[in-house]
Amino acid sequence: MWNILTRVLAATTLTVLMFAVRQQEQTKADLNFNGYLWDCSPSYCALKDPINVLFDVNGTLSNTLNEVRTHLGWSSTSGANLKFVDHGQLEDPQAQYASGCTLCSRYHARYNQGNDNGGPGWGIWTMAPVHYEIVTPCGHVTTTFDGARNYVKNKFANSGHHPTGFYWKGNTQASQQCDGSWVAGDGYFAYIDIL
Amino acid sequence: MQHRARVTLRRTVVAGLVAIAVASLALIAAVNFGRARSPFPEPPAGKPILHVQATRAEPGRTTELEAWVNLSTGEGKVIEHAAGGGLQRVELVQDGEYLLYLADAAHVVRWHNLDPNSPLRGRLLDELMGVRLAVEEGRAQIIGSGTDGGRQTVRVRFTTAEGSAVVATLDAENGLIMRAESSQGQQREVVDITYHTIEYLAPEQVPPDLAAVPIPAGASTEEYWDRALNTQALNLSYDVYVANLGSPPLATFRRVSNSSGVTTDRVYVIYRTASGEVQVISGSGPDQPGQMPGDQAPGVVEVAGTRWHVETGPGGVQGSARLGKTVVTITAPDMELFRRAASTLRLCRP
Repeated sequence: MWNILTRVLAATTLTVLMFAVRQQEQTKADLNFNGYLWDCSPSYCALKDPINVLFDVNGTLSNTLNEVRTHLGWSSTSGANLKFVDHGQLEDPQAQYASGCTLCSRYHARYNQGNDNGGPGWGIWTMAPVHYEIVTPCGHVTTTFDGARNYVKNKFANSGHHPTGFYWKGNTQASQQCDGSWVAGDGYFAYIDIL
Repeated sequence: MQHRARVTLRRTVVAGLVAIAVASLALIAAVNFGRARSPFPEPPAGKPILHVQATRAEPGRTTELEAWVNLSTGEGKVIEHAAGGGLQRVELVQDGEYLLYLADAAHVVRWHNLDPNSPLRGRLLDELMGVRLAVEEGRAQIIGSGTDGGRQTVRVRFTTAEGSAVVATLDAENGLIMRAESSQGQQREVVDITYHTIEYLAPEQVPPDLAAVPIPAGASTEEYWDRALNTQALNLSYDVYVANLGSPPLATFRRVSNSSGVTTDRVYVIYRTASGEVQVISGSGPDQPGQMPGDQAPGVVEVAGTRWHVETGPGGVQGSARLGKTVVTITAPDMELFRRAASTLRLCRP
């Protein structure tokens, strides 16, 4: 008898959990941004960084940058004017923050707030392609996207104030660096709830 | 007649000898002039390994660096600690491999089977000697000299590839960077590097465990293999596909293991064409999602009997299809090239 009850309970729990996950993923799938940054000339856009971090729920640009300063200690910096694509529109970065100086190996990200409210699954969101870069004669060269994303996610998760997770975006294309090397992300972005 | 022939022969021999002498002098002058252009002395004979310990102060961050770099081969190791704190970064170049360990991210990046021309082979030289190399290669100009803390210095100016104007102070004895001021628009940064140890070592003087890197068991790893199509032992759970686009492919194999031990890998075969780059990515999935790239909903395009889920974005076309046990993704600058790549796909057999 107990055995049957336990099985029924387990099956019900599993069904409810799967339904909840499915519901959440369906809601989250509504977000509509391109998975990469682009280096655009008038005639052609070359693929660059995969977007691998998303600050959501109350992720205005201002809130996001406040949290980035608080939890990561990063400061404002400059960099190439690569383009985001939000709802099909090319957009400039609204801010750039890094962990170190221009001539140093460092974590670096560009930020752009989404053009709409992402609904109950996402809320207000800001996207960021985060990477770790080294300095070479041709300029900054990214050595990892995934490692930098994991670093940012873990710093926020360890603060105890920000629920985080991974979401499949599929942006696995490799981007060529100025020194000729190719680097790719694993296709997932980390979401960090700004509450 | 014989006399004229002898004179002609003698003139020819003399002219030949003069030509050889002039060519030799020109060669010697070129070599010496080339060397003389470097204002920095060579390391002592038999001691090609530069060992430094330094403190680097930049706005908002101070780090401690220790490096051993073979100035002849570029091999060696750089270790970076937070000031008075924990390990932050280790980089190692050795035996055709490059390793970057980001301790604060618990993440390792490894490049195997580096191409002989891979810039990663010179990565540590760039870190320590990048500005000196720029002077020697004519990418930076010497604009003055002086002293700093009792050491002779050289002042150098250059512009980075990203447009920052930099004025750097180098140690005249060795070319190490002591100070760099960079500016771009309104932003200005100053980095000061104070060296506590500068010494040249023979190979037998470096620590025997130099190649050891303290990577914890739970670290995630990200590995790349140059020249992956020539690698026999990839041992994949899926097939690798290549296209025929009339140019030789460049291939990179990428494998990622997260901290839970879950491993994913993909083989990237990349082609350069007149219209832009084409990537053929083989992996075991998951499939590409529906919402990217850009706004447009995915469409289905049939090429040579295969249905491809295709989307367009600012960089062109991206499509995915499952071929047996492999998920193949093709990215191309336009639909014509996408179709060409898709219609010429074949299994790669190394």
